[in-house]
Amino acid sequence: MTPIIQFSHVSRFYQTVIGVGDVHLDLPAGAYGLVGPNGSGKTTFINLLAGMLRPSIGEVGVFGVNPVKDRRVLRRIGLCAASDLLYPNVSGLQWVEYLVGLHGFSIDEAHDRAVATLIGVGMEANMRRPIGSYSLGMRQRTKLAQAIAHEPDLLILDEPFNGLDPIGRFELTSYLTDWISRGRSLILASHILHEVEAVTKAFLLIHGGRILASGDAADVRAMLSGFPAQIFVRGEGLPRIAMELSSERWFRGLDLSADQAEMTIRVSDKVAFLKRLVELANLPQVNVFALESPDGSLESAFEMLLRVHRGEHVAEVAH
Amino acid sequence: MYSTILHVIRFEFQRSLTSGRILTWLLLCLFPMLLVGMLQWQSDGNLPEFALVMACYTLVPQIGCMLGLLMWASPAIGSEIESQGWIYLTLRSRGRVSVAVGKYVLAYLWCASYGIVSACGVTMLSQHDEPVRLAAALIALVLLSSASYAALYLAIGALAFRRATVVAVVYSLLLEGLISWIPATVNQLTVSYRLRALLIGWLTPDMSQLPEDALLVFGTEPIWFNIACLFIFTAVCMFIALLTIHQREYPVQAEA
Repeated sequence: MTPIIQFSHVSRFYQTVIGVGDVHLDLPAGAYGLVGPNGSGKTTFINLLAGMLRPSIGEVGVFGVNPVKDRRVLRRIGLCAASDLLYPNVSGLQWVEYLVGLHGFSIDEAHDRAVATLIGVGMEANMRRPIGSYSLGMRQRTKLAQAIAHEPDLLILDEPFNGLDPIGRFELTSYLTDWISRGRSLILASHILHEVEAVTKAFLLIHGGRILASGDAADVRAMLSGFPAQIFVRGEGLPRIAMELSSERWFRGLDLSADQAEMTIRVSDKVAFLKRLVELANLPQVNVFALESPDGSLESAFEMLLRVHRGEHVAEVAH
Repeated sequence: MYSTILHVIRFEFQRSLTSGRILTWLLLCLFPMLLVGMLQWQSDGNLPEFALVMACYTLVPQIGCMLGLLMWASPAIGSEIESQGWIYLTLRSRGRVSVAVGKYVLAYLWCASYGIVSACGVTMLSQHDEPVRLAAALIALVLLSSASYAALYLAIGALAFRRATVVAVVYSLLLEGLISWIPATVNQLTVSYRLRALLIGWLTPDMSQLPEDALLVFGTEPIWFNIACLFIFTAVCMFIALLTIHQREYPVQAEA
């Protein structure tokens, strides 16, 4: 499939700070979550994609076109930015109508599209009120409306769930799921993993300006299969268990809480660990109350990737 | 392109209809009339023609237009960046240029509108012998002054968007206020010099009371030449502004 987004060894520097570093990827049409903590480079990635920033090194292509050199491609992109709206005395309808008009639509057509889209995002009752009187959720809906009113092929959302109440989150998730089902592409940037997981299973994990992994959760888990799994244990006599386990060949490390009632253990063979734990649980003054393995969630995969990225697993393997 | 510029003008006009802006419009309209009225009252209507014409010119096409455009044209880009609207405008293929041109046109219209009203007002209060001629000259100067200064301040706003108004004020005081009065070649590069030259050309007030050297700061070039200079100045400033706005990476938002 022809990629809609191409990053060819793209780096973007802010003086001595790396915004994104050597990103190289080809993404076919589809929906992707761009997941990373605050300051990880998500917004820089999006700004490069939308042609607002030029790469310091490398080249960016969207629908086969460099968005800085040929801005006509922007007509195919809709962006809902993370920044807030600060036009207090303008109504949501006037603002959306204006931005739709800037895509080249006539005044009447821009008006019709703005009204229809604002109704579609649940702003029918409030679209004629000044933006200054909107709640954060209403402003998010209005921002979404301006991004989709011209029917782009690629929708980019930067932290769209910020400020939305649970109903708003549910409605936005449903809207985005519907958007994807209509065959349109989506980039959803967020630092909240479960929100991304509710919309799409394919994601790009970004940290320190680098794409750590891409694919779905299963792809990442497969990639990490050789790395230690983390298991959380709560109980009594945990120092004894820790001492017994430390001599096992699959043991990779642990963190024991100050009150010695909880520990997180890292092992390379989960089955062997569980068998041994059953034996240890029968020792006198040892009780295991809870056992949790977050593996399987996107969050745990992300945590694992960050540890790999920081080189922590190397130390653990050496141990 | 025209339709997108129309969208900008329409939106910005709706946005600008605030009580603060309307009050500013009224103040800029009335303060030259008030001052000319006071001058006439103080002198019992015997103000020399040259002083009267110069007062009308200085208050309306010069200071009046500059003040309004400092507020309307210089923050054109900076205000969008500050209100975090720039990111949305740049996501439109012709957004950058349309916004710049649209804001230029609107700044021009605001300024020209109060300038014309003000020019008519000061003409009535001046009791000039040829009121139609004076009003026509002042209105023409308002139209030329607004076009030139709006382009100049838009260019300053594009280049120095963070402190656009401060830079524009400093530029105006230094070049248009001070250097334009220096009888040397450098003053011919200023808008004020060309406007004064046109004023003299159209009204030919009695300048016999002034020393001969004073002609150096009023200009003696033909009218068509001065108008052409103002058009070229406006075109160059617009070119610089539009090129900068089209090419420059302005900050769009904080890193999330």
